[in-house]
Amino acid sequence: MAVIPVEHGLMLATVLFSIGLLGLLVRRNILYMLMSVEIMLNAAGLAFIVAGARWSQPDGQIMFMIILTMAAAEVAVALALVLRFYRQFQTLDTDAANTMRG
Amino acid sequence: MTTMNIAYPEIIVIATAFIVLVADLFMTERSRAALAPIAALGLLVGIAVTATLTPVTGELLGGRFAMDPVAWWFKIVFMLASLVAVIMSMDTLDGRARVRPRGMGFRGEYYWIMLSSVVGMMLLISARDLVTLFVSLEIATLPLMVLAAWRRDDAKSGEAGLKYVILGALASAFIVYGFSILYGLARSADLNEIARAVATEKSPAFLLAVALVLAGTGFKLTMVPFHMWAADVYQGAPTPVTAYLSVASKAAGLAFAFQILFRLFGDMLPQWGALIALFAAITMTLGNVVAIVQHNIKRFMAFSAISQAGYFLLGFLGDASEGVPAMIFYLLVYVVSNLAVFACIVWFANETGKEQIEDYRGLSLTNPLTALCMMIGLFSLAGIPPLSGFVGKFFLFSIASKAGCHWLVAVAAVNSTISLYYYLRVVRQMYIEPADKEAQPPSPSTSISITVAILTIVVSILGIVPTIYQHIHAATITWLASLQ
Amino acid sequence: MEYLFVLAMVGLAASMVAGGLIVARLVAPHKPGGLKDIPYECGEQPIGQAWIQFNVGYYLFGLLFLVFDVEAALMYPWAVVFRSVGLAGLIEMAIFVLVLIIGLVYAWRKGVLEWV
Repeated sequence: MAVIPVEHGLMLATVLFSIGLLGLLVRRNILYMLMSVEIMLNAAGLAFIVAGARWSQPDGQIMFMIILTMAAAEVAVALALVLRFYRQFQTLDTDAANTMRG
Repeated sequence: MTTMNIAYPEIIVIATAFIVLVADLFMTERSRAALAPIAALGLLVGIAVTATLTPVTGELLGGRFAMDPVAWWFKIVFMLASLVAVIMSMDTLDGRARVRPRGMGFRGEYYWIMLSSVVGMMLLISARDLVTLFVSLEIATLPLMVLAAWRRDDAKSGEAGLKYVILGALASAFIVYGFSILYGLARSADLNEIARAVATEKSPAFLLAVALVLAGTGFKLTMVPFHMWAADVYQGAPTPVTAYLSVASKAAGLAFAFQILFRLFGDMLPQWGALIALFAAITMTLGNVVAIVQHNIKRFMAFSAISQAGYFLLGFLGDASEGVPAMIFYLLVYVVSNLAVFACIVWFANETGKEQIEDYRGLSLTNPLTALCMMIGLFSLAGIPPLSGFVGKFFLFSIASKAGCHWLVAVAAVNSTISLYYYLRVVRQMYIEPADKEAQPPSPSTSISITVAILTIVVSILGIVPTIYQHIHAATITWLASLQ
Repeated sequence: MEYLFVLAMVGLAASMVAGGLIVARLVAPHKPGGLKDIPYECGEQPIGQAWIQFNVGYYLFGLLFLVFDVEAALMYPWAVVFRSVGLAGLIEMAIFVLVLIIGLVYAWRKGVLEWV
């Protein structure tokens, strides 16, 4: 059976991770920033699955499920805070989050 | 060896957390004041069980959870820090504060979240494979993000929580991506096996993994240049939470750094001496210099905490058999001193609702004992003999000196002087400036006064009693032998 | 070679859909207009645009759903090895589910499930 080469999977993971990182750096909207972080986490998960498939071990997939769970938990917390942020600042722009200086 | 008793501390804390959560459901709002004593009692039992644990080595779940003498010390520190944090939170949450902060309710959830983060930290130092390590890291940090945003009506608190979540998730992504590369290279998720597999690895992929994981670790330790979140989060979080964050997240960061630097990359650590020295120098200098110009006491303590992270990094230089006990000892000293100072800050914020350094003027006249305790705590952080902070710093500096980094010792010594200057700014306000005539003098609080008194005594004697350091040192030797 | 099955599968799926549409076009009566043109929304007549702000209250339901959604994902591996992990695995999973149920009960008692 022809398999997808490991390199392709890892390359995709790297590209996704870079897209996420870039998105986090250039975006000013909190929702987009959260999405970018999610992309980064999923890229790491993909790399785990590729590595697990390469070594034919279940650990990679276990780690992916754990990352999935953790990302869900993080999003749950983050979205609650985004709602609050919107209620307090009437915007989702991170530039508004500058009440503390020094 | 698969005896269950090594997991008792974690089980006790988890059970306490659930008891608090379920009890909260069936209580009236008035009787919820009993929740903090329940949580504190659970942590006390946890500390007692840990202290009497024999033997302190062993593993469970096929070696994925392991107890060792160094983990023992970390667990004691974690539980101690959260115990003090729980006691500190009582006044604020139960409404005994004169200036009640708005939106500080939900006591059951508050203690539940705090206890879950303690469990995460305790698992963190006991984890032996990537999955457990990652999960416990998240269990330790996610609750802290929720706690930072605890004040519902406060824009600053929400902003602090949001910044912490986004940057924390970024750090997690870095760490987990680094882990995936390590797993791909090493063909195993077991930390010790990865360490063996990558001992001679030189490929670019491995260097990328190291860089990613170290960046994430630096974030957790508030190492410059990954420190930006700390100041805003510390300032915005409710004061008892800031106290907990400043010690617990630092301790957890150090525990994570131990796992990464000693267990995973132990063979490469000696080669990274110059890099670590550089980061240590930048971290302590930046933290100290920025702390000078702060006016908000919580932000001030945040930069003080950043500079302390720089001192911790000194312990990673040179011989591990001396660095590890020095770091654990300094962690203990730092936790106790910082909590002593923060207990005073929490109490002052409860009584007056103010958190500017200038607001502390004349405290020695209205509350001489509290001012004295706060001064001792600050002097210990600055490292003035014969307080424990001096002894802790002395050990760390001597390690850097033995490792041949004499310039770094000079930098650290200059930094200690700078830090003395800005800690004295607070002391000056308390002792030299006249008290505000119109302001009502703050009245003492029982729980916090007792805490402050005990902590101050510990700060004073920790450096004089040699048995503790000897115990830590002996623990380290066994631990290092098990790493090989 | 093995991708041929995938191709055949794709072809089969496409022809099923196309076949259904073609047969319907041939045999069904053709009466356009009226209520048929509006979007289908659970049998209700739609009110206003679809691009409206949803009540924030849905968010909490979404979160509770997410918890059990992820729980199901974590249960699949356990289901695969159910026979080999035996009673110990069952007890462990029961503890896991119990923790989540405590969370649900907590949310319920705190009034999260009530619609305001």
